[in-house]
Amino acid sequence: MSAEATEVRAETDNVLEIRDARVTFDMARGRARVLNDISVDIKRGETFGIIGESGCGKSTFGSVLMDAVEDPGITTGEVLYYPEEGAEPVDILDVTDRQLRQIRWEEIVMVSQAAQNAFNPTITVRRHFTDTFDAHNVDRREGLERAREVLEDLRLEPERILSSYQHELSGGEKQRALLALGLIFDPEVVVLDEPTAGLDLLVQREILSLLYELKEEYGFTLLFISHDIPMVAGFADRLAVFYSFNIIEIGDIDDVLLNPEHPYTRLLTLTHIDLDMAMEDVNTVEGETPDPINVPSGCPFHPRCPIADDRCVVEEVELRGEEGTNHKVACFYPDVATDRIPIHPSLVEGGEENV
Amino acid sequence: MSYLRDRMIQAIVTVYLIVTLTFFMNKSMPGGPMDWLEQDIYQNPDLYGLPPNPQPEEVQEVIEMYINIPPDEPIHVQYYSFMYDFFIHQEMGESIIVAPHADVGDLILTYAPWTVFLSTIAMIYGLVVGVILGSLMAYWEGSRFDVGMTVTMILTGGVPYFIAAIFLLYFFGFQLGWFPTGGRADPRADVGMNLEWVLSVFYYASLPALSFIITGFGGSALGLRANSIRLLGSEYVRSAQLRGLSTYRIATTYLARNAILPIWTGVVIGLGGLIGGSVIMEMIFQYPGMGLLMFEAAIRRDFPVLMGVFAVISILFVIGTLIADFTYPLIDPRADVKESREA
Amino acid sequence: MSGEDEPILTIEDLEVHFTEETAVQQATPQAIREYLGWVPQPTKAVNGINLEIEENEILALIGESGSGKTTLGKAAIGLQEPTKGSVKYKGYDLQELHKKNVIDDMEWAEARQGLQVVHQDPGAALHPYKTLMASLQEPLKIWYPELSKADYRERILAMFQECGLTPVEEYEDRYPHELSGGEQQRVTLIRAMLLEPDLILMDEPVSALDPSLSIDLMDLMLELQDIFETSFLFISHNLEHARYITSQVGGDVAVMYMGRIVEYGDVDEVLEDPQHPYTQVLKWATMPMHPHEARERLEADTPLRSFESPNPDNPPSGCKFHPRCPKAREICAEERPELEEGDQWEVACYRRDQNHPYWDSEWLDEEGEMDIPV
Repeated sequence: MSAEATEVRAETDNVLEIRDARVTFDMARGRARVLNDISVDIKRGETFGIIGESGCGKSTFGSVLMDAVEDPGITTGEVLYYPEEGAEPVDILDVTDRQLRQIRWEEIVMVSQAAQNAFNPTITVRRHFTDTFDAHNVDRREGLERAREVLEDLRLEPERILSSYQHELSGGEKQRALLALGLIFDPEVVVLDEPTAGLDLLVQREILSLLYELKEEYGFTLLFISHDIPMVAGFADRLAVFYSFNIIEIGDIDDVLLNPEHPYTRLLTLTHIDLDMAMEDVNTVEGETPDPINVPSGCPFHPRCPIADDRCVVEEVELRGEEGTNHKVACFYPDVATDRIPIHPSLVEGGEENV
Repeated sequence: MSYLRDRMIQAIVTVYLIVTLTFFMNKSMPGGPMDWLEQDIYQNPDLYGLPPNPQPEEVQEVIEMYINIPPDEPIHVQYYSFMYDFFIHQEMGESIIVAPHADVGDLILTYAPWTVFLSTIAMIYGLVVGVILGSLMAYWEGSRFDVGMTVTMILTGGVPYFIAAIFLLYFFGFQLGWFPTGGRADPRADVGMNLEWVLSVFYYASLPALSFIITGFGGSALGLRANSIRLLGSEYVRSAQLRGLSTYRIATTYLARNAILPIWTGVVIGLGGLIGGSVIMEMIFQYPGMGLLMFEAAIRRDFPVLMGVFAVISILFVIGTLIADFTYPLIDPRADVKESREA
Repeated sequence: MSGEDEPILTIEDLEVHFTEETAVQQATPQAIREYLGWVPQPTKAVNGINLEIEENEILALIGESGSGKTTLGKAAIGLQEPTKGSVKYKGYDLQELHKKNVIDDMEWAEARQGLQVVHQDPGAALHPYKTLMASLQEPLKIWYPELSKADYRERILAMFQECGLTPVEEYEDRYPHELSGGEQQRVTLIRAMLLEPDLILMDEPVSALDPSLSIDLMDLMLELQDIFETSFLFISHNLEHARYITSQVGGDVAVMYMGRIVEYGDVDEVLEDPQHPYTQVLKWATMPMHPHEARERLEADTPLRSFESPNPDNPPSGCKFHPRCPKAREICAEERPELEEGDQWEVACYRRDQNHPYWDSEWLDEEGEMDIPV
């Protein structure tokens, strides 16, 4: 289903404008659409959080930004990238191979789900760096100097890490080394897909702190994809909620988390187990995540939605919101949702129970 | 490091056991070399330069000369003498029939280099070409290049090397006259490390080597391709793509380097077999090497030669395995791992 | 030494040490090894644990990598031989039982059947080339050989039904890679439950799943626990999961650090008001969902004194946590506090006792005490 672009004011400096991004691939059972005509703008310098369950399309969205959707997926649409404010945009989905190889890693970087296997086991970390330098025509010595700086920023000992093989590093060290590798060319956009998955608690926490610092220092635009809301809650300026290969809610983080309007978002907050809440308040979202080949008609959430009615089964709904706000939601009845569906107690101001 | 030291110790023990085994085979096998030789000497003393009805001492002397085991001594003396000669003097007895009275060790040394030379050229070419092609084929899986090469490789791989050899010999040797039709080097050139002779050695080895290479390169390529394809979906390959690395770099450093690991060990172990060569090839090209030597010795029951060759080839296999173990950590940094055991 | 009233598991002074050795080193006699200096220092993965798990009880074990939690788990179900101390199943020492095969009327086989495990990565725990039905029948064939194939099938389908893998006929002939992560983990759970064990060791069973799926799976575990009255030893590094799985049945939680338990008590109490600084730090590290709170947390300083992870090969003196502990004083570096009951519950920290000389000792950090905002 197509969605209106989020409101763009003339002065807003967007670093990425995505229009009708769609990813399909053919399976034996039928044609699967794993990203459904997404249109959204990413502002320069912001932290854009993306939330959703596994298989909702959020990782695919990240891949689209580098035209890196894996075969046999077919990507259509436009991804306009503005290298600087006021510059001419470039459609990442439509550049030559050579241009793409330059854009990848120099302009836009993606660090995937926990770096546990992102390193070639037979070469040193240093070699990963130098290979990348070679591919981008950067002098190796200069590059390595820069690499040492970045590694230190990530609280790693440069020499030890560079001369190690990946199996000699701990999970946290690997993840940070991969981040260093990502930041090496000072990119404009950094996409992180579950950067803390599989890591210990204290290590996760440390990486979050580091990311926060680094974003301030380096000034890149950050897209933070996660299935765990607390990971992005402290970070993000805006948040987009993915469901069934669409964005079903988007807006400033305070709006989306403290005043969610989509039934799914509201229910999703309840899946967070808080250390202080009563266990009975914890809930899951009933039902199954949609099959990309067989997406429900109308609003894709209707089979699991507690307030769905006939209109929801039949009619498709686009992102809509009030004039003047950034908060958009793909639901016919956001008021009903706010009334009838509780959200997580910790999100309620003053700690009152939301009936 | 300690793992490698362990392996050295194991290798030395194995080699020692091999030679011991050779000793016992010589001595104790019923119908084995010693028995057979003894019988043959009594039956045909003249073949061995002895008068009819020879004295037992004379017979024993002859046996000792050929097999290197003093026959009438107690076993521990025999054993010690045999092992001493083998390890310290590299003496393995003398050939009886194939090249009478020639020292087995010398004999092997004369023929082996040629065979090793030929096999090595074939192996190196086949491997290098195979690895490069294999990785590229994997990276471009499904492309016309890949499919075309696969078909070619299966076809050439299905042809027995001697058929290819005969074909090449007929066509390029006899018909077109581009290559010599037999022999190891130019008979007119002076043997030695001079340019003319060395070049002729390569020239004469061309057709045999080509027969091996053409029929053999597909195997390693297809093997590597299969291994690489398995790795294509790996996270680190994808990461390399995302970083903008070139196809060639990915195919070699990221795919081949990992895909080759299982193959490497096989290759190195196979090094031990290089010395064996191929009888058929040597016959086709009149290329006297180990193959022919072993063949002759086998048909004509030249036991000392056979035993010597057995010992040498076995030892070479052990050395090959050892080299495989020593070099593996060089290409796979994960391999130098000690075992963690409970205290 | 009967098995009726004894706890399912009694762990006493358990220690598990590892050393790195080569084959030749091991084969060499001890005397020569000492002469050559080939005696490497052992790493103490588990260093003195005392635990009891009763019937129908859930114990959550919280720890990060390197804490020894996995080793402890394996030792608890008999997959790892203890270096010192003992693990008893219903009063029978597991290692002895293994060697003698039968002690009194307890058979090793019975113990083996009674102690099962569910791992973190279901993809790796299921045979990729066997259908679900085939994989699940295997344990049944071993332990219930007298039943027929139809019986096995019936049981398995019943479990599918119970665990939400419906319609059941569709799942019989599927292969693991055709299932989602959540479904795969249900299958491994079923496999453990089919034998109706006394205790299941669960090593990070939901760490790889989405929040919603983890809750689903934990709910399922709790349901099955209710029906079969199985005990759980639930290992996790995630405080929230630990709380969820134990809180509803009033279970306990044990926090592990470098091979020892540093805090032990009722899960709700411990997590609400943790006494040991390490547990407090863990609680601090658990991010809240409220954007303002989360932002505050993110901008605050880390309460840990050092970022270096502990090295099990070279453990710190005294209290193992002192190099990182925001409340560390000199006495902490000298002597290790035992796990004892303080004012509240068992804590391995001197702060449990208001009158302890700890309070008079000097701070290790010039800045003094660091706060743990929790």
